[in-house]
Amino acid sequence: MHSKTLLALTSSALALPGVVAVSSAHADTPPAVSVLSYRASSYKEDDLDASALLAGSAERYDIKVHQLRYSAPVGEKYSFSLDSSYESMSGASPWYTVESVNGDAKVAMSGATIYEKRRDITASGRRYFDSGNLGISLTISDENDYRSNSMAVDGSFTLANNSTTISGGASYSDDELSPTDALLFNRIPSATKANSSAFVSVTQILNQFSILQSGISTARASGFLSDPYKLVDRRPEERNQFTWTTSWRRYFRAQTSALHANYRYYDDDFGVSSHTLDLSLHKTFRRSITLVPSLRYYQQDAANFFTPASDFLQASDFNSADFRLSSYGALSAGLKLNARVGKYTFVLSGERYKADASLGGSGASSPGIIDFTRLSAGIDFTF
Amino acid sequence: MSDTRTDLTLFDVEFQAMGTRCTISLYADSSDNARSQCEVVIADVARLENKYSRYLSDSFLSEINAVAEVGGALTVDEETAALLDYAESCFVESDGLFDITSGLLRRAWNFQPEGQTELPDADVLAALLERVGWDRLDWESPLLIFDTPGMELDFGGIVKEYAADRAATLLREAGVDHALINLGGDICVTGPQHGGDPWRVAISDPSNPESPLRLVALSQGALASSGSYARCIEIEGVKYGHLLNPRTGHPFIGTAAATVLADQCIVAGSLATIALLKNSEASQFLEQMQLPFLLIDQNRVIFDRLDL
Repeated sequence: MHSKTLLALTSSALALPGVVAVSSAHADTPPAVSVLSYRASSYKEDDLDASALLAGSAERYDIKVHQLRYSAPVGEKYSFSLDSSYESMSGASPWYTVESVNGDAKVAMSGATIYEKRRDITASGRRYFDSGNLGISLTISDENDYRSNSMAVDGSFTLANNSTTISGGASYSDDELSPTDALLFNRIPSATKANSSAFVSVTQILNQFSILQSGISTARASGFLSDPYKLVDRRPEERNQFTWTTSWRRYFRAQTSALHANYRYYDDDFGVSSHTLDLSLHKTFRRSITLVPSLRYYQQDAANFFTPASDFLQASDFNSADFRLSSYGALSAGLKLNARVGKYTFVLSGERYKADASLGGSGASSPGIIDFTRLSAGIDFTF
Repeated sequence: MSDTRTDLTLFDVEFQAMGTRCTISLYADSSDNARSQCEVVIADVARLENKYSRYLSDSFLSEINAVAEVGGALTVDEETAALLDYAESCFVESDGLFDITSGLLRRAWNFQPEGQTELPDADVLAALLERVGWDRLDWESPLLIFDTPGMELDFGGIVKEYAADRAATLLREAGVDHALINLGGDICVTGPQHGGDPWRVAISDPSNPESPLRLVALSQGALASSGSYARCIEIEGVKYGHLLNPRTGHPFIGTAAATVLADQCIVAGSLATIALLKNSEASQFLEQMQLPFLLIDQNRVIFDRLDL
């Protein structure tokens, strides 16, 4: 493991025109430093519009998250990291949706404010080789009505040309639901579901200024996939998902700014498909301050069995009025600031997300779609 | 040039540039061919000298320093921007010891053979120190802003090493895979010697430059040295080397020399210089880099880690 100083000087030297890396000394190595990070985030959904509310509280979810991360090199060929987070959530969620007399759909919210807590912890390890690395991670997530254990492996391999990297990975999770007040509301008392996924991607350095990455992933969820807290909600017991992502990075002027453009296509056999376009500009000032303004556009088609109003008659086998399965679109704008002061890096970020049925794709829309604001602050300590 | 050819001879192509003697050792079938293969390098070294020499009044560096003298801003080209970025990395990684604005301090010291015999006036030094410090200028690539008038930049510890790295790339691009470039002690190779043997580079004893202290084998990468032996002065019985500490404005007591091997000559050179600026912590600093090095510290203790 080489020192941080040598890595910093070498990377600056390699930015000089005509200064090149000595290829035989190009092994994949663990990070040179240990990092301890803390983030506090707040995610707050806007209150439901009064005109769309039938009953219950208009106040929607307000989530506070605390995250702690430690990562460190172990010897010359390994690294280890531990991530933990604690989430507290309060608010109400849509219970059912009905069509009002004038034909508009209205949402009935869960009566009382829900309080939830979620904790999770992930331990990961990575082994570095001459031309790649291999990692494994284990996660346990726990809340009073949900428990999930998952495992993931991933690796990447750089070809002899030093400009092409192939990455791949797979994950599996085993989840257990035990909805609260199951007897009182005739909810399913307990259920299970499993998720498995795999991905492969290729990263190609096009020239000293740009990098192109493209990848596909598939995921399969099976088991109880319905929302136990909705009065009426019945979804197939299997969901197969496909995603294609492409991203392009372009660096400008001595690498002090970079444009990141990402596109993502998603499709599943519920009938949901979506397009996401992400643009962000990373601008570094005096090597220590980075400002990242970003914009995201999202458009989704509704699931085949989505109904704007809850299907109390259970006319079809599957039905759901969950707004996440409806047709909608969204725009979000964000700003992130990173400031490095010696061994400390301070991070501040904010995002405003606005969803709109008129931006959606095909299918019916829901009165329950949300707008939200996310704020985050944190600090990294490097040693 | 094919590796299987046996009719090739090792030629030393010599030229004068950047105030020093430069040599390119390479294999060719004739001296003329050896020379012609080096033309691209000789031209590039001359280009960099014309651009970054502080002795040439029409160099781009002189243009920068003309703005620095009165204060103000100017936009620099990509190559200069990358060099300033590199200088900034050196400043950050050395905790402010490696500073391309510190050349100004030489105005208070005379390291010539018949140099000064007294310490400079404290007020003179204090006034100079007010105009020294990378953190006094505002580097916002590609814009270089001098808020404090009277500053001066000097790429002395960077450009010759950079030229050696570029020379290796230019030769390699021309298919010359077995050459050694030596720009006044800043050395880069494009690969081992023809036949596969490493180059043998002599590191001279700094107190007796004519006698080699150690031979080091080099098949790839670079080697650079920094030392305060070449010019030193004695004031009131205390010997000072010519390397100046930008924090105090004073040279270090005693003399030292360091040679570092790295993939890039520019990195080897700045690590050797930072080590000497760290003075009593030089050996500790170089050990942390985990690169081969040879250090003769200010107490004349030799740390030989060349066989790392």
